[in-house]
Amino acid sequence: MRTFRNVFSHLSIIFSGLFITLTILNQYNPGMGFLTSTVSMVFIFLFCLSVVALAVATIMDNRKHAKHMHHRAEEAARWKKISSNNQRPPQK
Amino acid sequence: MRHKKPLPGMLVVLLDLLGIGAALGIYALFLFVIPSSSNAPLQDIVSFGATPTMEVSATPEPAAQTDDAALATPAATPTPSPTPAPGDFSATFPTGEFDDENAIGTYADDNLRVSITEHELDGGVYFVADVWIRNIQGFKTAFAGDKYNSGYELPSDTASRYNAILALSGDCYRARNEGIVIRNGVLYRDSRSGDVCILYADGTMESYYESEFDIDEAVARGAYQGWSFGPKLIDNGQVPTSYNTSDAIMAHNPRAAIGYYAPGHYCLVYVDGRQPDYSKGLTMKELSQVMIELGCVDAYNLDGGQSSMMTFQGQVVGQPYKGGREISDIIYFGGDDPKA
Repeated sequence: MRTFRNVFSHLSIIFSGLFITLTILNQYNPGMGFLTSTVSMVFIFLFCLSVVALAVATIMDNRKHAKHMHHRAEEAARWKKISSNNQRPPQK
Repeated sequence: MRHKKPLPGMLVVLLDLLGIGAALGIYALFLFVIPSSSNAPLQDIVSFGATPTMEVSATPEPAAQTDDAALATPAATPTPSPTPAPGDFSATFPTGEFDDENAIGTYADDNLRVSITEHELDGGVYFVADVWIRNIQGFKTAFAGDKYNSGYELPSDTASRYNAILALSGDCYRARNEGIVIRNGVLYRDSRSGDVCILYADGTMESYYESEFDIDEAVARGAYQGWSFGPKLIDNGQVPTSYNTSDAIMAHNPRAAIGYYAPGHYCLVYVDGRQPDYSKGLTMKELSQVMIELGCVDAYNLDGGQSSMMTFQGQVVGQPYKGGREISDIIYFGGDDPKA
């Protein structure tokens, strides 16, 4: 998942750089259709896909991390309870 | 679990920049190099037979005479005046010597008359080619590579291949995926984008604001040539109060424009620019003023900047900025007939 996020992060940066360049070029010569051509539409679609993929991967990663932290918090709470009652830790 | 050492930060930034460069290259490859799959013409609008036909109007009947003297001497039958076929401008085609002593180039044959003059306005040098044609088929356009959507080349190369007497860079239709493309009576693309200029088969030329143009109406009326770059340069005989274009294009630039006087009589205007020691170009408003002062009824801006170029009898007129640029189409007169 981390590799997946890395790849789509860099893809998002690349597509953003592409469209920032095209936006600047379009200011100088809008007649060339840098932002309205069919090729631009395809690249915008791919940009959106990479951003969505990155967002989904980030959300999944965050949820996994949150679950992990929640599990650790529960474990920590159980240990605290046990040590306060002076009981031996339960056998796993 | 082994953790790999991350790449240095600067290397990551460099790789991303290389990625952006590669993406721009791929974008340019698809936009400018690889031709579109939709190259077939959409519709034949105007076609001409091998020999033009002329309609002759009926002889008018003599008016009833009640006067005795008039009856003794019957009125002569008036000579029928032939009605020229649409697109035939023989009645107005001028003959005789050119009367402009300042012309830097002239050409005349049975079907074409061209006179080129050089002018200057506020540091902008421009050339006006006054064109008369006898027949609408004398107003020609050509594609780079001889086929629609087949590539780019210098306007001078396209003109040379067709042995054009006079040529001007067109609207560079291939640089955009939208915009009307009508060439030599054939409709290739009918999507509307920007102001439009149509030359009809009867020789009239009209430019339209984007919102006013109706492709079906133009086709029904017999559109023969159609361009989409703009903007429209004359609004009811006046300089327009606003233009359908960007601020960068409104500024001083090299220009190419077409003007219309009457069926069979047109002008091509080419402006040198972006050369501070020679010609800074014209603004769009200045170009409108030039076209109005020339007496044009209508006028339309074509692709300017480095794209603009005019040739006359095989020679480049003026000094195109950086020698010109490869574009997708030209307007031309004289020489060989269009291949497409």
